[in-house]
Amino acid sequence: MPTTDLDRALFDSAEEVLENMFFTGIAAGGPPCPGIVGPWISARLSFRGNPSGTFGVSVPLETGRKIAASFLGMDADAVTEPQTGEVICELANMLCGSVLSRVEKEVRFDLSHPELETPGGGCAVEHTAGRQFVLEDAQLVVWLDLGLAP
Amino acid sequence: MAYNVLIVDDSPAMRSFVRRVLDLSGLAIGRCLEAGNGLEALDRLREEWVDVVLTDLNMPAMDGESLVRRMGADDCLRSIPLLVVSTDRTEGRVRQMLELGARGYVTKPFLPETLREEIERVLGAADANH
Repeated sequence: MPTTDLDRALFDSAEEVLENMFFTGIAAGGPPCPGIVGPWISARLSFRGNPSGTFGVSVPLETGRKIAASFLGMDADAVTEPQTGEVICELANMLCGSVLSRVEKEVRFDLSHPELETPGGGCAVEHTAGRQFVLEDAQLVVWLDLGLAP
Repeated sequence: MAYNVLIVDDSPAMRSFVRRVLDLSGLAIGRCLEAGNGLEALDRLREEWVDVVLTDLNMPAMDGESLVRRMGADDCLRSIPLLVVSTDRTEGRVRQMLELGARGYVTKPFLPETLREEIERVLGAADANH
Protein backbone atom coordinates (compact mmCIF):
# COMPACT_ATOMS: atom_id res chain seq x y z
CA MET A 1 0.00 0.00 0.00
CA PRO A 2 1.78 3.19 -1.14
CA THR A 3 2.29 5.79 1.58
CA THR A 4 0.99 8.51 -0.74
CA ASP A 5 -2.34 6.66 -0.97
CA LEU A 6 -2.51 6.49 2.82
CA ASP A 7 -1.68 10.18 3.18
CA ARG A 8 -4.39 11.08 0.69
CA ALA A 9 -6.87 8.82 2.46
CA LEU A 10 -6.02 10.39 5.82
CA PHE A 11 -6.70 13.85 4.44
CA ASP A 12 -9.92 12.97 2.60
CA SER A 13 -11.26 11.02 5.57
CA ALA A 14 -10.47 13.76 8.08
CA GLU A 15 -12.15 16.32 5.86
CA GLU A 16 -15.27 14.20 5.42
CA VAL A 17 -15.62 13.09 9.03
CA LEU A 18 -14.96 16.49 10.57
CA GLU A 19 -17.27 18.37 8.23
CA ASN A 20 -20.16 15.90 8.22
CA MET A 21 -20.32 14.89 11.85
CA PHE A 22 -18.26 17.37 13.86
CA PHE A 23 -19.23 20.49 11.92
CA THR A 24 -15.61 21.62 11.80
CA GLY A 25 -13.61 22.47 8.69
CA ILE A 26 -9.94 21.85 7.99
CA ALA A 27 -8.00 25.04 7.43
CA ALA A 28 -4.76 23.34 6.32
CA GLY A 29 -2.96 20.00 6.35
CA GLY A 30 0.71 19.17 6.76
CA PRO A 31 3.18 16.61 8.06
CA PRO A 32 2.54 15.33 11.59
CA CYS A 33 3.70 16.76 14.87
CA PRO A 34 6.21 19.57 14.28
CA GLY A 35 5.83 20.67 17.87
CA ILE A 36 3.14 20.04 20.41
CA VAL A 37 2.59 22.06 23.52
CA GLY A 38 0.07 21.77 26.33
CA PRO A 39 -2.09 18.85 27.39
CA TRP A 40 -3.29 16.50 24.68
CA ILE A 41 -5.80 13.70 24.45
CA SER A 42 -5.16 10.69 22.22
CA ALA A 43 -7.12 7.61 21.16
CA ARG A 44 -5.78 4.50 19.47
CA LEU A 45 -7.30 1.34 18.00
CA SER A 46 -6.02 -1.64 16.08
CA PHE A 47 -7.45 -3.09 12.88
CA ARG A 48 -7.13 -6.62 11.55
CA GLY A 49 -7.49 -7.55 7.92
CA ASN A 50 -5.19 -7.23 4.95
CA PRO A 51 -3.26 -5.19 5.97
CA SER A 52 -3.44 -5.04 9.77
CA GLY A 53 -2.18 -2.19 11.88
CA THR A 54 -2.89 0.55 14.38
CA PHE A 55 -4.52 3.94 14.05
CA GLY A 56 -4.49 6.97 16.28
CA VAL A 57 -5.79 10.49 16.76
CA SER A 58 -4.38 13.23 19.00
CA VAL A 59 -5.76 16.67 19.74
CA PRO A 60 -5.05 19.32 22.33
CA LEU A 61 -7.37 18.74 25.28
CA GLU A 62 -9.12 22.06 24.76
CA THR A 63 -9.72 21.27 21.09
CA GLY A 64 -10.99 17.86 22.07
CA ARG A 65 -13.49 19.51 24.38
CA LYS A 66 -14.69 21.81 21.55
CA ILE A 67 -14.96 18.88 19.14
CA ALA A 68 -16.94 16.95 21.74
CA ALA A 69 -19.22 19.93 22.35
CA SER A 70 -19.92 20.22 18.64
CA PHE A 71 -20.62 16.50 18.30
CA LEU A 72 -22.86 16.33 21.36
CA GLY A 73 -24.60 19.65 20.78
CA MET A 74 -23.44 20.99 24.14
CA ASP A 75 -21.71 24.08 25.43
CA ALA A 76 -17.94 23.42 25.61
CA ASP A 77 -17.84 24.46 29.26
CA ALA A 78 -20.39 21.76 30.10
CA VAL A 79 -18.49 18.90 28.45
CA THR A 80 -16.80 16.60 30.95
CA GLU A 81 -13.44 14.92 30.45
CA PRO A 82 -15.03 11.43 30.11
CA GLN A 83 -17.38 12.80 27.44
CA THR A 84 -14.41 14.32 25.62
CA GLY A 85 -12.69 10.96 25.74
CA GLU A 86 -15.74 9.13 24.38
CA VAL A 87 -16.04 11.53 21.47
CA ILE A 88 -12.33 11.38 20.60
CA CYS A 89 -12.58 7.57 20.64
CA GLU A 90 -15.58 7.78 18.31
CA LEU A 91 -13.67 10.20 16.08
CA ALA A 92 -10.78 7.70 15.90
CA ASN A 93 -13.20 4.87 15.10
CA MET A 94 -14.88 6.76 12.27
CA LEU A 95 -11.63 8.07 10.83
CA CYS A 96 -10.05 4.63 10.85
CA GLY A 97 -13.06 3.04 9.16
CA SER A 98 -13.13 5.76 6.57
CA VAL A 99 -9.40 5.55 5.80
CA LEU A 100 -9.42 1.76 5.46
CA SER A 101 -12.45 1.78 3.20
CA ARG A 102 -10.72 4.27 0.91
CA VAL A 103 -7.51 2.27 0.53
CA GLU A 104 -9.03 -1.24 0.46
CA LYS A 105 -12.62 -1.07 -0.80
CA GLU A 106 -13.36 -4.78 -0.80
CA VAL A 107 -11.39 -5.92 2.23
CA ARG A 108 -13.28 -6.35 5.48
CA PHE A 109 -11.46 -5.16 8.61
CA ASP A 110 -12.14 -5.89 12.25
CA LEU A 111 -11.61 -2.79 14.35
CA SER A 112 -10.85 -2.98 18.07
CA HIS A 113 -12.57 -0.72 20.57
CA PRO A 114 -10.70 2.61 20.67
CA GLU A 115 -8.78 3.30 23.86
CA LEU A 116 -7.57 6.55 25.31
CA GLU A 117 -3.81 6.97 25.56
CA THR A 118 -1.40 8.91 27.68
CA PRO A 119 -1.59 12.50 26.47
CA GLY A 120 0.75 13.11 23.59
CA GLY A 121 1.56 9.42 23.18
CA GLY A 122 0.47 9.33 19.55
CA CYS A 123 2.95 11.86 18.31
CA ALA A 124 6.33 10.90 19.70
CA VAL A 125 7.29 8.21 17.18
CA GLU A 126 7.52 7.73 13.43
CA HIS A 127 4.46 6.30 11.71
CA THR A 128 3.76 4.63 8.38
CA ALA A 129 1.57 7.60 7.51
CA GLY A 130 0.56 10.66 9.44
CA ARG A 131 -1.03 14.05 8.92
CA GLN A 132 -1.49 17.10 11.03
CA PHE A 133 -4.54 19.22 10.31
CA VAL A 134 -5.06 22.78 11.34
CA LEU A 135 -8.63 23.28 12.42
CA GLU A 136 -10.20 26.64 13.08
CA ASP A 137 -8.02 27.34 16.08
CA ALA A 138 -6.01 24.24 16.86
CA GLN A 139 -4.34 21.08 15.60
CA LEU A 140 -5.51 17.54 14.98
CA VAL A 141 -2.98 14.76 14.38
CA VAL A 142 -3.96 11.51 12.66
CA TRP A 143 -1.57 8.62 12.16
CA LEU A 144 -1.56 5.03 10.95
CA ASP A 145 0.94 2.20 11.30
CA LEU A 146 0.89 -0.98 9.25
CA GLY A 147 1.82 -4.30 10.81
CA LEU A 148 0.37 -6.21 13.74
CA ALA A 149 0.10 -4.33 17.00
CA PRO A 150 2.42 -5.55 19.77
CA MET B 1 -48.29 9.54 15.07
CA ALA B 2 -44.96 9.56 16.88
CA TYR B 3 -42.37 6.89 16.18
CA ASN B 4 -40.52 5.02 18.91
CA VAL B 5 -36.84 4.44 18.10
CA LEU B 6 -34.20 2.12 19.56
CA ILE B 7 -30.58 3.24 19.11
CA VAL B 8 -28.04 0.43 19.54
CA ASP B 9 -24.39 1.47 19.81
CA ASP B 10 -21.65 0.79 22.34
CA SER B 11 -20.54 4.42 22.12
CA PRO B 12 -22.59 6.73 24.39
CA ALA B 13 -21.32 9.64 22.31
CA MET B 14 -22.66 8.17 19.09
CA ARG B 15 -26.01 7.37 20.72
CA SER B 16 -26.23 11.01 21.83
CA PHE B 17 -25.36 12.19 18.32
CA VAL B 18 -28.04 10.03 16.70
CA ARG B 19 -30.57 11.14 19.29
CA ARG B 20 -29.73 14.78 18.48
CA VAL B 21 -30.12 14.13 14.74
CA LEU B 22 -33.54 12.65 15.45
CA ASP B 23 -34.51 15.59 17.66
CA LEU B 24 -33.58 18.05 14.92
CA SER B 25 -34.96 15.99 12.06
CA GLY B 26 -38.53 17.18 12.15
CA LEU B 27 -39.65 13.56 12.44
CA ALA B 28 -42.30 12.88 15.03
CA ILE B 29 -40.22 10.93 17.52
CA GLY B 30 -41.93 9.46 20.56
CA ARG B 31 -39.75 7.43 22.89
CA CYS B 32 -36.07 7.19 22.05
CA LEU B 33 -34.61 4.08 23.71
CA GLU B 34 -30.94 3.16 23.87
CA ALA B 35 -28.92 -0.05 24.15
CA GLY B 36 -25.17 -0.63 24.31
CA ASN B 37 -25.11 -3.92 22.40
CA GLY B 38 -27.33 -6.52 20.74
CA LEU B 39 -28.20 -8.35 23.96
CA GLU B 40 -29.38 -5.16 25.64
CA ALA B 41 -31.33 -4.33 22.48
CA LEU B 42 -33.21 -7.63 22.58
CA ASP B 43 -34.05 -7.00 26.25
CA ARG B 44 -35.44 -3.58 25.40
CA LEU B 45 -37.42 -4.99 22.47
CA ARG B 46 -39.05 -7.54 24.76
CA GLU B 47 -40.15 -4.73 27.08
CA GLU B 48 -41.36 -2.13 24.64
CA TRP B 49 -42.51 -1.87 21.03
CA VAL B 50 -40.43 0.33 18.74
CA ASP B 51 -41.06 1.41 15.15
CA VAL B 52 -37.44 1.29 13.99
CA VAL B 53 -34.07 0.02 15.25
CA LEU B 54 -30.82 1.80 14.38
CA THR B 55 -27.82 -0.41 15.11
CA ASP B 56 -24.05 -0.28 14.93
CA LEU B 57 -22.26 -3.49 13.88
CA ASN B 58 -19.05 -3.61 15.89
CA MET B 59 -20.15 -4.00 19.52
CA PRO B 60 -19.16 -6.18 22.50
CA ALA B 61 -21.36 -8.96 23.95
CA MET B 62 -23.57 -9.20 20.86
CA ASP B 63 -22.71 -7.44 17.61
CA GLY B 64 -25.09 -5.91 15.09
CA GLU B 65 -24.96 -8.85 12.71
CA SER B 66 -26.11 -11.22 15.46
CA LEU B 67 -28.86 -8.78 16.40
CA VAL B 68 -30.13 -8.75 12.81
CA ARG B 69 -30.08 -12.57 12.73
CA ARG B 70 -31.86 -12.87 16.09
CA MET B 71 -34.56 -10.37 15.13
CA GLY B 72 -35.05 -12.10 11.78
CA ALA B 73 -35.56 -15.44 13.51
CA ASP B 74 -38.10 -14.05 15.99
CA ASP B 75 -41.74 -13.97 14.86
CA CYS B 76 -42.47 -10.98 17.08
CA LEU B 77 -39.46 -8.89 16.09
CA ARG B 78 -39.08 -9.76 12.40
CA SER B 79 -41.40 -7.01 11.21
CA ILE B 80 -39.56 -4.19 13.00
CA PRO B 81 -37.49 -2.27 10.43
CA LEU B 82 -33.78 -2.19 11.21
CA LEU B 83 -31.20 0.24 9.85
CA VAL B 84 -27.49 -0.49 10.14
CA VAL B 85 -25.31 2.54 10.98
CA SER B 86 -21.67 1.52 10.65
CA THR B 87 -18.18 2.62 9.66
CA ASP B 88 -17.86 -0.55 7.56
CA ARG B 89 -18.66 0.44 3.99
CA THR B 90 -17.34 -2.56 2.10
CA GLU B 91 -19.84 -3.62 -0.55
CA GLY B 92 -19.83 -7.22 0.59
CA ARG B 93 -20.72 -6.22 4.14
CA VAL B 94 -23.57 -3.94 3.03
CA ARG B 95 -24.97 -6.64 0.75
CA GLN B 96 -24.70 -9.25 3.51
CA MET B 97 -26.59 -7.16 6.02
CA LEU B 98 -29.38 -6.35 3.57
CA GLU B 99 -29.68 -10.03 2.68
CA LEU B 100 -29.95 -10.88 6.38
CA GLY B 101 -32.92 -8.56 6.72
CA ALA B 102 -31.69 -5.04 7.41
CA ARG B 103 -33.94 -2.53 5.60
CA GLY B 104 -31.16 0.00 5.07
CA TYR B 105 -27.49 0.74 5.65
CA VAL B 106 -26.01 4.13 6.52
CA THR B 107 -22.24 4.48 6.66
CA LYS B 108 -20.42 6.68 9.17
CA PRO B 109 -19.61 9.45 8.70
CA PHE B 110 -23.03 10.49 7.51
CA LEU B 111 -24.73 13.80 6.96
CA PRO B 112 -27.56 14.26 9.47
CA GLU B 113 -30.04 14.65 6.60
CA THR B 114 -28.90 11.34 5.11
CA LEU B 115 -29.84 9.51 8.30
CA ARG B 116 -33.14 11.36 8.50
CA GLU B 117 -34.01 10.52 4.87
CA GLU B 118 -33.15 6.87 5.36
CA ILE B 119 -35.31 6.66 8.51
CA GLU B 120 -38.16 8.37 6.65
CA ARG B 121 -37.80 5.89 3.78
CA VAL B 122 -37.87 2.89 6.08
CA LEU B 123 -40.74 4.19 8.21
CA GLY B 124 -42.68 5.17 5.09
CA ALA B 125 -42.27 1.70 3.67
CA ALA B 126 -43.30 0.19 7.00
CA ASP B 127 -46.44 2.38 7.13
CA ALA B 128 -47.33 1.40 3.58
CA ASN B 129 -47.20 -2.27 4.56
CA HIS B 130 -49.60 -1.84 7.49
